[in-house]
Amino acid sequence: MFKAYKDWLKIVSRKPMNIFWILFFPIILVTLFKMTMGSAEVVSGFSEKVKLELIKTDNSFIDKQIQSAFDSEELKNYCEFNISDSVESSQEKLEKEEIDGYFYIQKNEDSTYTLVAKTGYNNFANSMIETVSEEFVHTANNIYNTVIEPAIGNSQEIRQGDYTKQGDESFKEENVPSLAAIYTYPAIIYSILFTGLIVQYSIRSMSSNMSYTGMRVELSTDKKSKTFIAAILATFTVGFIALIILTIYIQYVMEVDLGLTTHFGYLMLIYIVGLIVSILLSSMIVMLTNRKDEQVQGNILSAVLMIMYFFSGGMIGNLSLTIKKYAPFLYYINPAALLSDSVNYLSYKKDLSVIWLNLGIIALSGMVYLIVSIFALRRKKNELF
Amino acid sequence: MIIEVENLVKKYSGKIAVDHLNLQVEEGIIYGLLGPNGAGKSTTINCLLGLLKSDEGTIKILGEEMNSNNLKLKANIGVIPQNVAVFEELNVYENIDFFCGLYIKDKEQRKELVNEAIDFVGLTEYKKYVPKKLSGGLLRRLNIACGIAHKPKIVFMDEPTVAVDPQSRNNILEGVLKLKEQGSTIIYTSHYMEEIEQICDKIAIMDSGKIIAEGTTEELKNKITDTEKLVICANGIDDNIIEKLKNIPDVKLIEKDNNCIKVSYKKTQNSTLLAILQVIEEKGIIIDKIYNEVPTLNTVFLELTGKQLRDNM
Repeated sequence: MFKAYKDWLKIVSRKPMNIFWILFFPIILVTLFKMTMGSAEVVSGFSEKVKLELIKTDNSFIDKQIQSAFDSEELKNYCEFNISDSVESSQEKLEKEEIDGYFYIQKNEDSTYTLVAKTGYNNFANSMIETVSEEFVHTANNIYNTVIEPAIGNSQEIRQGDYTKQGDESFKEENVPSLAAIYTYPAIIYSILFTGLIVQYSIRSMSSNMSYTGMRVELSTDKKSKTFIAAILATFTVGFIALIILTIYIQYVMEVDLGLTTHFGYLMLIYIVGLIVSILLSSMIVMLTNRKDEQVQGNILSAVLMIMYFFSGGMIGNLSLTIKKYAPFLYYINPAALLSDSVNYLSYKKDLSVIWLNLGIIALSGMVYLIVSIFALRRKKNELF
Repeated sequence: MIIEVENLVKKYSGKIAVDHLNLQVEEGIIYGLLGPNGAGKSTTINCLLGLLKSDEGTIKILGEEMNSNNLKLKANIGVIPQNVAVFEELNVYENIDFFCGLYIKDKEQRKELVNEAIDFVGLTEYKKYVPKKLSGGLLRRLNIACGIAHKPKIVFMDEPTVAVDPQSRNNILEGVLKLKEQGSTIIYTSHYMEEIEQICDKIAIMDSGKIIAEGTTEELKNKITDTEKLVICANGIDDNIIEKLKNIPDVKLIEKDNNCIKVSYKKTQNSTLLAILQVIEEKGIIIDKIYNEVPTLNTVFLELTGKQLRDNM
């Protein structure tokens, strides 16, 4: 088994395109981002403060509570808060892009309160608004739930829960999203997702109906399952090493905190589960398209991975949240979206239970991929020439 | 018999690909399998290798029923596919070691076998070369080494000399004969009739899922040729003479090629040859050259299947 593993490790790692897509391409992405954003200091903060407004209510207690939260020194480094008298006036400013968003409190029929956040077009500002809103849910006494409404379109409820405990926590640095972190998640997710592409070559090389090397493997006395596991483990190893190198590069060269020091265990867990599921997903696609030509199969696989990546918000910041609201099924069956959210949560949110939920769903998806792959494998025909 | 196939039937969606095929291969010979495209040759090989399940019939290799779980049997089979089946990322030594490792677990034994295989195909100087640095001929040799390193008793070779230079082809053919000398039985398919004639002890011609003829090259030639082909080269052979020759009973075909004519006539009639020569003599033509053209395996194949092997396989 170890010999097979070593051999597959050589096969997988010596393919230059494999390493390019899972390591060098993400490194190029984050490097270009940093070059675009300027110095590391700017990257870890903001080049321009997010302009937000708070609409005064007729409840002085709530007003005080909100104001004290926004008084946090840490937040002031990133945001500029102003008080507004009316929703109409703030809305007008938002439409003219004079501000990036505003908050107001809405009293519900059951005497609970909802914090409503209106967002604009600035993706980063929207992420900040989301963070601030969530923080309120955790810390404020009377806020029952939070609604974030894009300036155009429908509202999206990001969190609901009965948070009644009196909170006196102020914002800590790690609870503030880093602009750089937000734009480096896609590189991580990309690397995880596209490790699956390597699997295509491995599976084709050991399947008798897809390659002549596979025919040789099939006709050998070695157990095919052993060869399969060795190839998968080798792919996983290469993907994992690439991720570690990428993380170290982002954390120490780019100086963007991904939580390597604070949430090492969580980060590794996300990587491991993510890689396993990515490999299982790609295996399933390769098995299901086993009668296709290698290039056609590669295109199908790339297209599926790219769609998943796109819907996880890899290209459009808050797309996964929109999908979560309007087509939750699509959100939950997309491991890329769940992984992306998990890395996101890890970076600046206190409530890490969502990570467990996401990883649980991803693991469940992995089981489904595995079962489908096994069925596809049993149905395959062996003839090649 | 090292391979015995009885009444093998394989159908694809009701369409018959192999039709009650019977095949016996003796131990230690090179058995050539010929057939045009769609003859059922590949399906037969797939069934023999256990890659396909047959619908009817039995396949016995080394006296044992062939199935994909028979590891003992698998250990005695080597495959050299038409396409080079190696890993681009591994060098010559590593490639052979990879495939040999699928059979041989002992590291020392494997090392010895891999080196033997490298020497056997003459790749000693290229041990550290990756496949893309090798020429077409050397690649073919590597392909062979990967299939024989574990010393199988039966080797299936599918077009091992496709697209190689003459020198490499000779090297490969010598290797095949050397394998036979070492006691291996080889099932050999090729487009090149001359190769088949040169190295195969027994040949089977397949068409429409059946073996339509089987035997040594000589046996096959004798089986089909009731036609003699006389080649006459002389100045002054014109259309008038050709017309006269065509009128001789039993003359089937006349082909003109510059100063020469090829006259095909029915073998059994001795008087036909005399009649042909008489026509030439009457016209006072001096014959430069006259000889009987020996039928080739290609002629045999053509007559049996009505198809050109090289274009249709």
